[in-house]
Amino acid sequence: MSDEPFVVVENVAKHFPVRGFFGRRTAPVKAVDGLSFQIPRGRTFGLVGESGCGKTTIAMLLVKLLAPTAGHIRFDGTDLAGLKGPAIKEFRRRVQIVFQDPYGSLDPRQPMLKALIEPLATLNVVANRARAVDRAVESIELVGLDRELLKRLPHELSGGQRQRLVIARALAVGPRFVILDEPTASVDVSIQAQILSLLAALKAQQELTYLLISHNLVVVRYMSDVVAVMYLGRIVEMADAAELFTRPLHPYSSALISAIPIPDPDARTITALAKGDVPSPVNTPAGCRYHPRCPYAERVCTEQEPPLTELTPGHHAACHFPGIAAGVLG
Amino acid sequence: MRALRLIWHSKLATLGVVLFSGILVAAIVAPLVIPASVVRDVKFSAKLSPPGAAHWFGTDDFGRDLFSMVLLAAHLDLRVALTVVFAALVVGTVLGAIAGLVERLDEPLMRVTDIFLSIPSLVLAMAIASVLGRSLQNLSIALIFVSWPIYCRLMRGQVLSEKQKPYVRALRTLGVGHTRMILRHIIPNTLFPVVARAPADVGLVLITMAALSYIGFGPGPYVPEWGSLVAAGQSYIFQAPWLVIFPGVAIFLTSLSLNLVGDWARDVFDPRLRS
Amino acid sequence: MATVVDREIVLAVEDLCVELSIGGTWVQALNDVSVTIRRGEVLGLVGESGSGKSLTALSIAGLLPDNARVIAGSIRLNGDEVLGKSEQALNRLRARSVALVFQNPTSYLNPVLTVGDQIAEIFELNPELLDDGHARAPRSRRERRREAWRKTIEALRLVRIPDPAAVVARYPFELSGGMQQRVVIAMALVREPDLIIADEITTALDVTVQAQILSLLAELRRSIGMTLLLITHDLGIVAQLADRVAVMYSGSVVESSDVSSLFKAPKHPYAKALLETVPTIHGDHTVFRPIPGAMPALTDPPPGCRFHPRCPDVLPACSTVAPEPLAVARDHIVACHLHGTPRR
Repeated sequence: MSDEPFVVVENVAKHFPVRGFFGRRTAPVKAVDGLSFQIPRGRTFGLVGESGCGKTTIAMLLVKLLAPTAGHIRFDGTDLAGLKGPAIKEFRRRVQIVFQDPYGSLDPRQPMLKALIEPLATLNVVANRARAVDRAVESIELVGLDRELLKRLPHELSGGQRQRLVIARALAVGPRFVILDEPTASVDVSIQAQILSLLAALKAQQELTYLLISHNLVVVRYMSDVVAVMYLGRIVEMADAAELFTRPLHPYSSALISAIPIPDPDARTITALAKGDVPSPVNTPAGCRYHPRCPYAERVCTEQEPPLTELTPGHHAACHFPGIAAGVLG
Repeated sequence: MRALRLIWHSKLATLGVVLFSGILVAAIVAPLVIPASVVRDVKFSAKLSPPGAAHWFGTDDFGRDLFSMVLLAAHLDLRVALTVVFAALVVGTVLGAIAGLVERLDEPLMRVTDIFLSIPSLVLAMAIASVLGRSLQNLSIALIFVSWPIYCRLMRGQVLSEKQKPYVRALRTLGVGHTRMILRHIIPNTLFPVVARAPADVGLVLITMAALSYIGFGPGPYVPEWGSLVAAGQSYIFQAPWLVIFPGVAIFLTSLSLNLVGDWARDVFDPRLRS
Repeated sequence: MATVVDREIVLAVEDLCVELSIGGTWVQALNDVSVTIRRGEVLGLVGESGSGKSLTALSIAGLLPDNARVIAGSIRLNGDEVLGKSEQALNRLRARSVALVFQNPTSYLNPVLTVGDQIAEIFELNPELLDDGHARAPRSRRERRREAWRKTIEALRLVRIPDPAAVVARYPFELSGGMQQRVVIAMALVREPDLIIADEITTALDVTVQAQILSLLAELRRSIGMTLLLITHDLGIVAQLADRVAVMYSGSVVESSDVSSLFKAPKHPYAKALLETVPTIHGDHTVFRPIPGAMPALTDPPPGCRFHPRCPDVLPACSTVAPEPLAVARDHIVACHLHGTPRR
């Protein structure tokens, strides 16, 4: 047991080759490009960003569905790349993911019971079928679902029930680290609140470590201890949750925060701090990747990419003019 | 059973199932009740009699009872058509699954499929039948060669799209290995839509077979087959139209009912409609 | 602030009842839904999925699918009854009086026409839009074309599309989601409709792009005074843009009032609970409270008030009698037994 943080992502890059016409190799899509962060045991790390920022890619890298083009990912001291054979199964028992779109994550022909039992068999979590059924029932009840639902097929469940089911499925194998990819994106507002409470309760109960990926900043703030803001494959700001939301240093963070419509009619403050569209990772801009959208961009921003530096203890930002947007937020 | 409820739901499907069951029963019963000698029972005195009490469908130019011939032909036609489609289905889906799952074999298999698909089915069947010789067995083989490519293509397409579905990714993180994924998840989810095409295909094979017999690639005048019956009857079309009408209607009704059954089968196998 | 209450009513939906055919049986999907919108007003129609908000919008535009039917009620646009109109009349209605903007702009833009062509087409089909008090209305075909083109570029500028002269020649697939949505909004605006219906128009967009669209709508509201039916599940959007709000639950409007009253002093327990489920940041921590249970299926609604199984303040009458909407203050209507005597 090393005294290294539980999850270590070190300079990870993932490039997808793109083939142009007639097999010509054009520039690769740099979905993730030089990403580094650490998650201590028992904490929740929030990853925020819009489409194309690479958050789904890093999730896939962390569960070993993809292999990094460069860099290392270590879980509990062991490099993911070195895992072979039975060690991979052990890894899968300890690291689980709850994907976005619970409906898509389920085999439409499998009744709930089968869906829950299958991983227990494939990952050798239990000795026999009877134990598997017990464990399945346990997990179902843990997430607040009635065991009556076990014989249902995915399309016979509501959105909220499906979301709980995929959480139960992930937890049934007994993981220590769970990646939550947009856990509330496909459910209604009132169900969202239920799911978030459930996740918080489960974390405490099962002593889990979470990586929470979401574009919804309020959700991230509620659940996370540390938050990192991603943009085009890199982290542009990283800090404790409370600190990030009260004193964001990167203009993109400010843009994300101010973009949330506040449910208060007396505080009518819709500010669109980011110009233009969310970029795609196919053509990353020169210099600071955010500069085409940044209202404060100067010449240096178009030429030099700012490195991610620790500006105050625990608070990192990659910007030539950190804190420049601070005056805009109330 | 839910499947039965689904039939009731659609009147056309009910019609199709009822009709086909009737034809199937007739086909099964026919060789048991009707002596095979009917085909050789040449009775020139009764030749070309119109439909009546003695001969429900009339008689042909050899004096043979058309009703018996049509029923015996039902047995033969259905047996051949079902066998052909079953074989084509097996060959096609296996090759299609391989093409979808093994990337290296995808291109070569698809090119082979393309070659088969580029030749019009009738021409291809004729070519194969003439090479192999004129017999029922060879006709069946020719028809299998004509029918398998479509299943291969369909299956490959289904498998490729299924592989991309999010649940496949999710199950991989849950330890589901390659073999299990293919056998327990991908194939069950892709097989049924492909198989549901089979009943309609039986109708198609039937028509192709009849067409081949009609143009002379069939098994011959002493083997009752709907297509050859129509072919034989066409010379007498003005004097004895019943010779063409009854076998023709038989082909039409069988093919129609099979198509309706096929639509029903597609609905039955969709898990989303099960509730 | 000038009272909107005295302006003319553009849309009056009264006791609208719509049924949906689910699995062969007809179920009640909209129950006596009543909303009114006055000229220049933004009405936020809030509800979760299954509440009936989109169905209401479709009813107003005469776009109900085949498995839906209106069984009672009236929808009056500018005093003109919409229900019962012929398809032809409805087409005319949709061309000029009601403009719709939906969630997925890609599906609503013709992929084989350039953006400019699509907007110009509207002018071609409705040439009266080109006469806007000019000294001499454009007569010849060429003059009309030129005018249409000019107005097209003007429209794109109005929705803040950068470099409209270039965008006009682009195809929809060349534009991002946010830009496409702006084009659809422009297409709605050029018609100069009496009412614009916007159904979850920012749900599919990234959050920074959503902010741009919302800010655009706020600006348009100020500058041209649109009459807008804004349908959303996001209470934040409603708070920022709407003048009045109607909250829907399982096919009924449970509360409707001006936006301040709803957010400050909601009366209906569902409205209250819904506001509490939105995580809001208060200083150092985030507060929210989930509502237990889930919205009932249309095929199996609870008796009486549909919200009563989940209601923290449920009364005995709630499980037997469905509450009628009653006015508790000027222009503030609530359908709840806590705020009105139940009728036996």
